[in-house]
Amino acid sequence: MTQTLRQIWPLFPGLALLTMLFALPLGLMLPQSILVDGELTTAIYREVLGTGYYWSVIGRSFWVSFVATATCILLGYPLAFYLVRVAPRKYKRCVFMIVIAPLFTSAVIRAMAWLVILGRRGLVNEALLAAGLIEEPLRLLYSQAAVIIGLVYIMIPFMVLTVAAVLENVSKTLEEAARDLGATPLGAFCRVTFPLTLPGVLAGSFLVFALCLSSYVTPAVLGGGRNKVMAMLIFEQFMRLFNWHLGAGISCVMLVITLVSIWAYTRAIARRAVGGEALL
Amino acid sequence: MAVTLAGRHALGGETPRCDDAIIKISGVSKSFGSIVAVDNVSLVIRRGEFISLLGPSGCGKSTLLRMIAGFEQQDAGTIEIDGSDAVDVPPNRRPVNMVFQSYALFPHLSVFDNVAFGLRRKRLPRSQVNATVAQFLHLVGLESLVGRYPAQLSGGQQQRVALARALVNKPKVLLLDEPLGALDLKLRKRMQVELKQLQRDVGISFIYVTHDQDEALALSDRIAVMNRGALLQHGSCRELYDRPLTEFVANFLGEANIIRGRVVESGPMVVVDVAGHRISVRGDGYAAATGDGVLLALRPEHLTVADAGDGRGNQLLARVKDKVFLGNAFTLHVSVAPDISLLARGTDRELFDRLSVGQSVVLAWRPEDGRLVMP
Amino acid sequence: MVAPSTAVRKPRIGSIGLLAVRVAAWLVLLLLLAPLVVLIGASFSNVDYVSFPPRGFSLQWYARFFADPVFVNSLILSGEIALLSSAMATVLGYPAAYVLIRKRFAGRRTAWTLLLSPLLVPQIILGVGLLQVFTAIGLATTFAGLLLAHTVSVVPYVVRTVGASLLGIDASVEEAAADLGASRLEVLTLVVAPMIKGGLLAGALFAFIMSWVNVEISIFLSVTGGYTLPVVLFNLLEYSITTVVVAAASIGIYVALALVLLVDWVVGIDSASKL
Repeated sequence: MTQTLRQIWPLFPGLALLTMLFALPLGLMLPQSILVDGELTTAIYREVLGTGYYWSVIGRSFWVSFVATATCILLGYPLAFYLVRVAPRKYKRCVFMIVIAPLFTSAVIRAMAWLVILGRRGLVNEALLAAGLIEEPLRLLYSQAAVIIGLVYIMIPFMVLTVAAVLENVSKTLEEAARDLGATPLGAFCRVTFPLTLPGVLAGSFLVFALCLSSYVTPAVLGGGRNKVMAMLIFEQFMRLFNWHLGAGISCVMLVITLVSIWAYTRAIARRAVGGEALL
Repeated sequence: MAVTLAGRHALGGETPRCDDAIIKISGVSKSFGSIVAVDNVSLVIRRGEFISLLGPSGCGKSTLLRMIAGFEQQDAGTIEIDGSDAVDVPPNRRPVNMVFQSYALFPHLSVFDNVAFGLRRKRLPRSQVNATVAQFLHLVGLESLVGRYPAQLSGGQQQRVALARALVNKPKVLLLDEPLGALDLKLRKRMQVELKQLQRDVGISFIYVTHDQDEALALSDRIAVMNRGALLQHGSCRELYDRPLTEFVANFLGEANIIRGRVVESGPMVVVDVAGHRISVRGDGYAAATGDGVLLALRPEHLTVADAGDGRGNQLLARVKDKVFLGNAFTLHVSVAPDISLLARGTDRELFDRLSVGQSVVLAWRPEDGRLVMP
Repeated sequence: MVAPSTAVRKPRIGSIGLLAVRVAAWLVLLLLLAPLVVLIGASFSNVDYVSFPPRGFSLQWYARFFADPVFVNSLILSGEIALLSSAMATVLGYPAAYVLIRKRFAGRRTAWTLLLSPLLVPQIILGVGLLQVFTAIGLATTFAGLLLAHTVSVVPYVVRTVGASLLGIDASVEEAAADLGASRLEVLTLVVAPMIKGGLLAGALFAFIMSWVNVEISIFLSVTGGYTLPVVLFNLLEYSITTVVVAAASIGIYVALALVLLVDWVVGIDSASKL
């Protein structure tokens, strides 16, 4: 036993930090949500899951995340396919850079960009006005649609990279074999390549969904007060209303859903084992 | 089958004098989960000898070597290095060094820095380090490559760097884990010669792990044969080849015909019934009682093939199944009985031409050339 | 007789299909670039209110940015936190990853999951939780608290990239080093670290970047009187958006572009994307 301890002690500082400043803060959420004034109760959850207001927020979070995820699949898959199979080698680096660069900017910056694009004096309105299609600027911001657009923008790179990684492992030879056996190029794609990339699409979807559901900055900037999502609710309960128990309850709900989604993501991506170990 | 080995000492000749031993392995066992990798192995490594651990993959030879080096801890038994128990000594403090199968050179260090690595860990003065490194690089013939990096070296050159890097620390024993495996045949043969010379020059014990019996025979003073974690037999090359104790050893070193028979008479010369023929074989301490089933080992080169027997020595009637021309020799596959097929080897061209498939022949050999072996 | 061509033709979906893929891909790429371009363009506007296309051309908002102590301090704070937290994450994460990859012991999987978990958990909840814990132990508005929070948040990046690198090198080299007398610390610093240079650097870089852009943790843990740059921007957006804010955001974009090029130079952007 001590032999093992001697071997693994370099792990402990990092582990200690994460236990104290990660496991602990998260772990506190559950007790806080069921222990009110020293008594075990389900009152918090009954309120969170029973009240119309909270339900509508939760429902909106789901809906927004769902639509954003679906849009990401539609936009991300072709780009992933292009990146892995179509792009000439010398373009690949460039394409990767364009996909990754937004990830290196803060979410605030990315949300702000859409403020400028969708704003009253932003790109879309100026273009439509100039083209004479409208007479007054449209109110595009502070709507559910704006939030979805903002989320899609943030999430596309995640979808593209996940699908691309899986696509790379699908051998081109399989497509050739299909064509050798008589399939058209489109047929080969539909019947061979695409089904094999489905785990990647699924994985990407679970990942994007989890990230959308827990997103705070984008909905806060682009949604305005009337389009609250769960993360904003949590912020509000803790920071403005000092309603810690309720905040903890909503947090636990979000935690459960995102953890399930992330778990599904890791299962879907499990084939991508590196040296026998599946790295998250 | 009630068979016992006559005396433990039959396993490997005389017991060495105590002060002759540089490493004493006593009753060492190691398991990984439910797999027994090393099973109660005891062996003494003598000073200045070149000994090979020989066996097929998975026989435990590498695990045993790693336990000597300190990379694995035995579950049972002791390993003494130069008189002291190595049980709690980590690999970086044992007076042994290892040459790895993949050479394991430091890719980011030059040849010189690779070889100097161990000396620098000992905090020796720079001048001494430089001098010693130069000396050993000269010993392996690599002085001209001091500034190169491993990626720029050929397999054979990397091999020598690995050797120099280990030897420069003047270990008491050098451990080699199939170091020539990655080299092509010609280079291997050359390196074998150089290795043997190197060991003689340096004078320390080399423990050499290999699955190649030719290599073991070419290099070693002694061989220890392992299979499935157990040490089957150890001794000089001649001993192992001429007097194998088990079927496995007989088959692993060189080729052997293994024939089943039943003891008809026991004594200093045991008489065995093989397919109706009376065969004599030396007892040599093998406890065989009348009626026991035994295995007889016979080397193909000891069999003579003739059209008719001359009555001397052991004889078997056989039918030729196949003859194979090998250039400087030939192989003959013969059948003595439906379940007894033998291999004979010879160099007589005329005989080869005369024989035809299906022909009856007489196999003969001297009684002292056969051996009783354990299964 | 004509010898058959040995070159394998790249399988094509059919020219129309290919064209469609190309068009779709480049549209999406445009979509990814456009917002950044728009922001940068708007930052050069002459006027205070934000519009695109920008009105006029002026660098005054950049000048205003660097003249404003709130902005400048937040820039410095973000930089300091990112630098220090990535350094700490590397010092903590490298040995941890080494032990997790090379050694077998009970609870290894759990430890591995724990070390990578900050990536998988909603950042907002982590932020709130940390605020609660820090308030209890008195670190709530301190530099140290913010630093620790960021370190926890970015350690997974180091552990993941270092872990991947370690799987790719020959473990017997480490045994050789030990065999030659190196202590464990010497093995880690003299032998393994140089061999996984790229992975270590990439991990540290990713940690730096993720700390630099972090919002949801920083929102809760301001240092007395100071905020990181993303938080300053976020707070300003609550009221209205002016060109100086856009200029500040553009600076973030320039930094991001520089970091992309740096990552490409260090590990190659295409391998980085797999991490």
